[in-house]
Amino acid sequence: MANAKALDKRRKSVRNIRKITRTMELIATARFKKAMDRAVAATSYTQRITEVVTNLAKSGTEVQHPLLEDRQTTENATLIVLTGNRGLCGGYNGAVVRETINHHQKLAEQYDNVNLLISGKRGITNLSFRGLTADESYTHFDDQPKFDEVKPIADTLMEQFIAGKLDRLDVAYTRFISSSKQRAVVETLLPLGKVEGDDTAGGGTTDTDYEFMPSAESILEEVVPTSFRIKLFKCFLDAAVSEQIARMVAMKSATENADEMIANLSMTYNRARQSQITGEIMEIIGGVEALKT
Amino acid sequence: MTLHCIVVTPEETAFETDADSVIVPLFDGEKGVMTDHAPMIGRLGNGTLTLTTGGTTESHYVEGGFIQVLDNVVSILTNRVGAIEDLNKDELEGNLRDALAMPGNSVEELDQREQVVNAVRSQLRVLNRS
Repeated sequence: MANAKALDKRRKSVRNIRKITRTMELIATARFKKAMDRAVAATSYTQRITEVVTNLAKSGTEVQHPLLEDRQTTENATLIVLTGNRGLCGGYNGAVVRETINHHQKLAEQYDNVNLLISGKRGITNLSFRGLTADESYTHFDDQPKFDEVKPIADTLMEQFIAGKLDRLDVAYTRFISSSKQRAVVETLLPLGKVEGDDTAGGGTTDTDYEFMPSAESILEEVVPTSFRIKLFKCFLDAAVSEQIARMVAMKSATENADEMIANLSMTYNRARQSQITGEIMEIIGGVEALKT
Repeated sequence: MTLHCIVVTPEETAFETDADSVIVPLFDGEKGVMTDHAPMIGRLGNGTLTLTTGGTTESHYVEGGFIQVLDNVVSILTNRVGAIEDLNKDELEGNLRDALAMPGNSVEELDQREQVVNAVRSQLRVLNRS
């Protein structure tokens, strides 16, 4: 039986770890709520943009834009990877890194040049360990990505695409499906293929005749880049929400494990203490018996 | 009968309010909207958004985006919105210097510089006019 003192020491340290994981769980919960609120607030813009596109399509304007066109050339591709700056969030970063490595291999077979943009310290170190170094990296995105921070990245990529220096843009991130389900996915953002709402059969507002100012074409010229920016921004938001959920879940199970460990250690400690006491009593009795004779 | 005005940015719904009239900076000039305006979709430029309610006016700076008018509801989708009082002349002039000092070695860099410079200049213009 192990030393009671050592067991008690271990139990204390597990208790301390439990305190830390419990606190982290609470912090992650608070951050998740905030990130979630932001993600929900952002949907209002997306909905309205979709409405504008629907109305444009209904008015008979052909939705055409360089960003929507498929490319025949396979020279340059860019892969954006969205990971967290911190660990201790279960499989969150690992899953994205795994997806990235698989997809990078596929892209490298098809395209001559594959650029890698990585956001998040975890992704940068993890991927460089596996031999994929980032051409550009960002570490300033935390649990509340700002549109003003995402916009410059989107604009540069868009210009590269229009100028023909980029043929395809993919994003590897964790998509938020529901609060109990998030999945690491790779999504193609450029060419956009299709703008949401460009479906004349779809619902949307009733048959109202809109007046377009200055012209439907001019609006289209702006709508397509905007919906691209929004799509990229949404990826960042999704990744931020998913990270907090992943951390919350990981820390919850860590706390539960610590609880279990404390219970087990307490039991062993009590047994060890009991056997120590029994041992001592036996010694005393033995001593008394020896004196009697 | 008043207009219901909703201002939305990619991050959030900035504000919702009722107004008698709304003046928005379109891509190629200003546009006033009053009640019972015909359905309209417009492209916005950078400039001042003015809301008039019962004699009081309220001005905001908006940066690009779209306006949709339907059934007395004005939806304004913009990249950025802020109160004009929050604009700071010294800070903006500093920003303008920074923007002008941005590298312009390629077409993309030049475009990007132009965009930033334009945005800062229109903020300054809005501030000087108020």
